[in-house]
Amino acid sequence: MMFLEYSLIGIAAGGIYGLLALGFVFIFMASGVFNFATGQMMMLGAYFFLAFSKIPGLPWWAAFALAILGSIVVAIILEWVVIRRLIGQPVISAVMVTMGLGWMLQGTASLIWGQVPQQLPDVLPRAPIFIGEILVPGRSVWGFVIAIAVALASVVYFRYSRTGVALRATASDQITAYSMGINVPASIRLTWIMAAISTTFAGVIAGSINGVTPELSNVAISVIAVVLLGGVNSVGGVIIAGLMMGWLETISGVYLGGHWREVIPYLAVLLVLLVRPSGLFGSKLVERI
Amino acid sequence: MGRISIWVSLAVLLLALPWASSGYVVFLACLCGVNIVATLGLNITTGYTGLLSLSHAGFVAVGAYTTALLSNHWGVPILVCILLSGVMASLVGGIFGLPSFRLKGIYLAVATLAAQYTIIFALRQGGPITGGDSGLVVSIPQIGGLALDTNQKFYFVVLAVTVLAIWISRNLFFTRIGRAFIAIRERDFTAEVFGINLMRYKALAFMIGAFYAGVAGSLLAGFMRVVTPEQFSLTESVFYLAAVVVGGAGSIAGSIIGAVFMTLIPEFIAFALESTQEAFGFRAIAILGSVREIVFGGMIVAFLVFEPRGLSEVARRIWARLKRTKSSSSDNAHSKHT
Amino acid sequence: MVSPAVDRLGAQSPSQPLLEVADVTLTFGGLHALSGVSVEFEEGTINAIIGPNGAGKTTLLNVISGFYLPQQGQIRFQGRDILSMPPSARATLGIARTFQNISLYRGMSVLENIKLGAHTTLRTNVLAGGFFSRATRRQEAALTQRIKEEIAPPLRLNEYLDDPVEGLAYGIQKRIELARALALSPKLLLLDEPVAGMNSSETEEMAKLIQRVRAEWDVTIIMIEHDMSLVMGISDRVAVLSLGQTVCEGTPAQVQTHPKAIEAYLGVDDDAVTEVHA
Repeated sequence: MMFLEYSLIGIAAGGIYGLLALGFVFIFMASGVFNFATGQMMMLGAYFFLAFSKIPGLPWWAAFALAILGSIVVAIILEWVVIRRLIGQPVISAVMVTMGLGWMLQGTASLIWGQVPQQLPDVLPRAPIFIGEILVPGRSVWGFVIAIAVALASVVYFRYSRTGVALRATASDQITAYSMGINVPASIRLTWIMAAISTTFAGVIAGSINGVTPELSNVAISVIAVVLLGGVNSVGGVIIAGLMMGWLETISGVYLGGHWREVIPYLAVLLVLLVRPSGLFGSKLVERI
Repeated sequence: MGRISIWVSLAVLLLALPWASSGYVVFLACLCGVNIVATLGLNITTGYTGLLSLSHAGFVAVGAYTTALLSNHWGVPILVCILLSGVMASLVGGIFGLPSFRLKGIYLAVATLAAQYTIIFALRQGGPITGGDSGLVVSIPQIGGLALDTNQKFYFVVLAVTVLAIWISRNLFFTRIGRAFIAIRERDFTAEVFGINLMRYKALAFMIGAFYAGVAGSLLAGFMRVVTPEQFSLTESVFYLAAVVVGGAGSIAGSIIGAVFMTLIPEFIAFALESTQEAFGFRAIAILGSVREIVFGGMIVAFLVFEPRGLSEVARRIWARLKRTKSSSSDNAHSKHT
Repeated sequence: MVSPAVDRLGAQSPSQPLLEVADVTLTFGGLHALSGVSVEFEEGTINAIIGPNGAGKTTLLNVISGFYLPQQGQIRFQGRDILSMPPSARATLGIARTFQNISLYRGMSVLENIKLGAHTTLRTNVLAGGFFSRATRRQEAALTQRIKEEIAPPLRLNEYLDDPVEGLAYGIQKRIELARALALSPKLLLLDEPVAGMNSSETEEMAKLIQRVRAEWDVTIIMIEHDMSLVMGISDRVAVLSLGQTVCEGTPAQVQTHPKAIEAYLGVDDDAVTEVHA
């Protein structure tokens, strides 16, 4: 019984991973850049919400909207620094820049808000929910529901909307997309905006459950593990992989001990690389010479 | 004649350092040496071969702890320790990197991130062997029967190893090995056409870099005499990356310049924060960690965006301009200078 | 054996061909890049592979190099099956190539770029390299000398040897690519559009060079080209590819008037006649 309860909690936590992984994958598919600042963007989203919610008289949903806006602004600045300036340099430079930017964000956040965990306003209902006979904390369930809703909305947008189709064209072949009249730079910027939105949602959810600290950024490695596990070019796959990773972390934390919880995503990454680098659901990346 | 006298003066300066300056300067010099060796290694892996590595600090840790254990438990002399630490770090690097050498570079980068965390995790959970979070105290390094119990004495070991490391790196890039590394960075499939087995050479570049890291760690253990997991966090891996970027990727001189620059920057920051403590009255040292993160990250971004070839390129430009004005003025004066 | 659908003109040479491409089929997903391609290349000949864009010419070269593994067919070099050999192993057989897009390595000088071609002829390992052993020094010096005296002069590259490759003119870069391939001392040289983007005097110079390489160095040449003056001017044999299939093969004169060859170019015959400027 306990196993089932922990499993559900784990899967619920995995919703956040799926959401973050999506933000990561969209950027990667459009521009080939591994956004190592994903974790810090999430942390920043949570802190923005914290800051805006402190404004007296502002309802929480307005604070949340402002947090999303703030994240989008930051994402656009990041994209402007990363992509624009580094065209012509190898991709490894862009990846390193996202790392550097992430580091700067994390350092800045800890300067402004310190290392002590902060409480976010209670936006997720706390009341525990019964699933069959199992009791799951309310915030976990609601967090999961919201995360999955946002994730699915992004996927639907990516699949079916006009801009989404343009995005997918850019993702599969930039040069052809250009020649078809698609505004590739705008598409790339859009993926960063989408990442900003999903990371803010993820950050607020995670922050509501665990409190906000700059350490929230460290979720990035779990996200990378999720992306690799799901397949770096499979939008649906990474969501499922996120749930799996959430489950894996929680179960290993319970049955192997708290310390193992930290290292499990890294071991998972190494295992995936060894056995199936294209991930469970991804396809092999064909490099045209 | 001018060039030789520069090298001679430099040699004299370096050899006389322990007597000519304070203990703090010698400490900094040792730290610079360690960081130069480490940065040279990372430059081989990331700068020359283009394999992004986030685990360099982890490999330095492997070297440091290996030396600590060999020295403490078996009294192994320091020079042997240094060699064995390099080998150990290289092996650990090989094990973690192995699945990724046949894949594209980004997979290796992710594997190194995993390696970094796993190594530190293992060190912290290593209980009696690694000393857990408190780490280990390192016994006094030995050469022959001589105990190198002060920084002044150990400095010469650091100096010798650093010079050797520079020389070896320089040599590599006069040979087909170095050329293969650069080719892999630039256009790896074309390198294959000319007989370069990508998997083998990527492994080589990665393991050589790890070897250097292990050696650097060994030196670090030798003069710090304390090793803790905290010294080798991800932030330190970013430190070494910043040193490569700031100094100049794919450049030996760049590795040296970058390492020295990055070594002095935190000292600067700490100094600046301490001075402002009086002015602003808050515990500035408490924010040292955050400021370091911002500065390291900022250096990487600033240099990649504005000066991707690093300080070594800046230095080269200044040098070229100086030579031009020198030659034009000597032309004007109608005299010949060598 | 050659598939009957292909028109093969001219006498068959009795000796074993240097390179045989036999019934090679390569698909990407559902796309047939090459279908049942069969060609033979005799030793000491200059061969051209021509055809409209998208015909699969570079793909064929990539299959010979070893980047793509065909689903069907065989490739034999000096009678030996090389399909199971990875690209890096094929270099040791003496197969060298140049690329359609210049792929010289930044961060190295012209001389170093050329030296890379000779990678398989050197014996340096990490220890020897790191400590710059005497053997290593000798090998490097010998290679430098060989390049300076034998490879660079006919290509007029001696004055550029110590320059970085970035920023050099396109024509010079093309010659450096050729020099790099020659440094391997190849038996077979694959040239992907050697005169793309060159004017008529540069093309003429390259034509003479290719013939000289064949004559003095005993190298068999396979080139992909759109420039018909070059193709018809110096080739011993020409193969026409269209939509992943061999259309016909023979001497330049035979191919020029062959109805199937003309048909393959129909609709794009402007490209077939004019030079391609990059």
